[in-house]
Amino acid sequence: MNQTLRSEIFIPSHLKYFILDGEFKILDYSENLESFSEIPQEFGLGKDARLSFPELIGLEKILLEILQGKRNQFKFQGISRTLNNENLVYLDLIFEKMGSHAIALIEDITAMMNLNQTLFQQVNENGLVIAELTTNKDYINKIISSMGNVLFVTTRSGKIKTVNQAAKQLFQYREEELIGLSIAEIISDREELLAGDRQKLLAGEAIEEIEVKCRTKQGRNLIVGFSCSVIQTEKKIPAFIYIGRDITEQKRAEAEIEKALVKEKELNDLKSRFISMTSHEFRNPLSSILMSVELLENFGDRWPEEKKSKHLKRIKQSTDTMTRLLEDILTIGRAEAGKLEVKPIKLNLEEFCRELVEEFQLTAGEKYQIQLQCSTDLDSIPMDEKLLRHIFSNLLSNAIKYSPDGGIIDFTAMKIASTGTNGEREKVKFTVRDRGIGIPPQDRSRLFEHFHRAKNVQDIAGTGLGLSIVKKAVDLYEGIISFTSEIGVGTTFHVVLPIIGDR
Amino acid sequence: MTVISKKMCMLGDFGVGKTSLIRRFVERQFSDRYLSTVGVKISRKTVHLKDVQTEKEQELKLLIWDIEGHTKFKSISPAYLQGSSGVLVVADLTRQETIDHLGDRIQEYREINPHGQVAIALNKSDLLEEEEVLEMKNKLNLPEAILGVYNTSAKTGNNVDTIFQELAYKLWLTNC
Ligand SMILES: Nc1nc2c(ncn2[C@@H]2O[C@H](COP(=O)(O)OP(=O)(O)OP(=O)(O)O)[C@@H](O)[C@H]2O)c(=O)[nH]1
Ligand SMILES: [Mg+2]
Repeated sequence: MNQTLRSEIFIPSHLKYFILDGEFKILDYSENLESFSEIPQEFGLGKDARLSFPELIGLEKILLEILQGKRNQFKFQGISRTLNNENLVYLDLIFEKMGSHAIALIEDITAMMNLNQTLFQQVNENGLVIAELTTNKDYINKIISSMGNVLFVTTRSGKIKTVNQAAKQLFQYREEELIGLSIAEIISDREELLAGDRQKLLAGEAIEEIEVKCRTKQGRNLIVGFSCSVIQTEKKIPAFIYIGRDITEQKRAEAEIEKALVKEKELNDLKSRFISMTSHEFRNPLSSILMSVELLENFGDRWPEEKKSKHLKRIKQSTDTMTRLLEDILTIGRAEAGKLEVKPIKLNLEEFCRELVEEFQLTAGEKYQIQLQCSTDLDSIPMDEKLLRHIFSNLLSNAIKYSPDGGIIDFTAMKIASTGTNGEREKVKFTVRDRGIGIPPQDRSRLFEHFHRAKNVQDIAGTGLGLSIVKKAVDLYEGIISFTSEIGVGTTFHVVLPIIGDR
Repeated sequence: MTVISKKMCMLGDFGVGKTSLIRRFVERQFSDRYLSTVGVKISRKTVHLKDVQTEKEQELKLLIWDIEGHTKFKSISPAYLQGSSGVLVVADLTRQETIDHLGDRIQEYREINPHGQVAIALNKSDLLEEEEVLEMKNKLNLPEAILGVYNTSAKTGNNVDTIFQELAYKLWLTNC
């Protein structure tokens, strides 16, 4: 040891040191110092200290400043080193001027740094966890608030704890109104979801997309598809998660499609009914004609006149029936093709009605009593006789047909005045009232459709076209038809037709 | 051929992956365990450099100073930075605040070494999608000209050799 070199300063015994010249050459060092160097075999008197203490690399300027007295001290704190490949130590390295040389003092601060490490390890680890949590929370919050689906989190009893933007929007509440509210205030029709289902949920089952009726704050009804599940919070308290989708519109659209499908099916039924109906309606008279013709052909020369005329009459009747049916079908066809028009000409309406009544009274027989009642001012009114005939022959014939036990049939016609959008307009109001079997409520809405026949007609013959023709004619006239009916009591049809001037 | 030694530092907030980047570069290893660095630890690695234009070659011994991370409670001692030729400032792509602090770290370094080379590592790129990394990179708004910004991953090794190699090359060329 070179006593003279370090005589100028006092060095505490727990410090190690080495002494350098301006070129980092090691001039002196304390005992066992090499064990603190990074590369002990490079350490030794006269050697460049930077080889064994690599932290000195880059300190050339600093060393110069110290030697020149421009800097008092320079200190590296906490340089870590693994000694003998196993012990981690921390050193402080302090440089000071000593005479014309520099001294590097080394203090082992491992104990303090280990303490530091433990402390910062905890602090920093927490910092990382918090950072991750905040990012996750941010992320999750953003997802929750931006998701289109409604989100509720409730307690076991159904008290709302968390909501998202979509929930506020859909149910028209403010957040502070929703928090603490019972979810039953929102879900109106499914008690189980609120209570019973919670047991299911607690058992670990999830509820997927069940439809529930909900209401907004203003009481508007919504249909929402909810999926529910339970999560356990960190305190082991279950939280009930409801995620819902507003399906009100979808349901409405579905219902409409359903309705359209039913309609479509009915239309199909109608078509097949039309075909079976027409073939059936034609087949009967046709086969009876055929039969009569064959009989006449084979036995005509042998039969008495009386029997022959009976068959001829049957042929004529069947032909009439077919003609009527054909006419009905043609009328409907014409109306649907838009070929039917209203052509009013001056008409004695009272006379027209009377003739119609007489005609029907004749065919109906004595079981029926058709009573006509007309106002006195109907002797010269422009009306389309053909359309009137379509309307009232069908209504009267129905009145007779659907009163199998006979009875009184009232037919009335009277002029009325009513105020329409384009001023005063004169109209004629007709009613046809029977005391027949009535129309069952379920058939009333579809009464005017082709071939629709009420469920209670049993074996009363009919084409199912009569009322369609009536409706078409009334519509063409821009008139109004309505009816009141009671099962077993009778039916009254009201027809209001405007009086259209001569054209 | 004489070996040149150069000191470079790693700077950045705690936990951004400074130690991991060095470990990947020097030992070609990675661990998920976090052991917070206190004080400073010096690692050495010699890199082989070649100037493509002059065909000149050089062995350069990098002394990499792994400095304890910056935290809210503690700034680093500026003495560590003394005499370093370059710095790798590291941020964690998954922690926005570490990216926000990049400017401060560069500033800190420049105060001691006005002419030092600065490269930036946006680390943990393996945790983000490529497009997200690109977006972060584009958003970056750094005050001054720096050597380069690299997205790195100590975990996969992505860009780790590149960034050290580039920095070493620059240190050799500028010889600061
Ligand atoms: N996924 C992933 N994790 C990484 C990466 N780099 C580091 N980590 C992890 O991040 C944590 C911190 O890494 P370190 O290298 O210790 O960070 P540091 O910057 O040295 O931290 P301090 O020493 O406290 O300043 C560790 O758990 C590493 O495993 C990376 O590229 N990808
Ligand atoms: Mg570290």
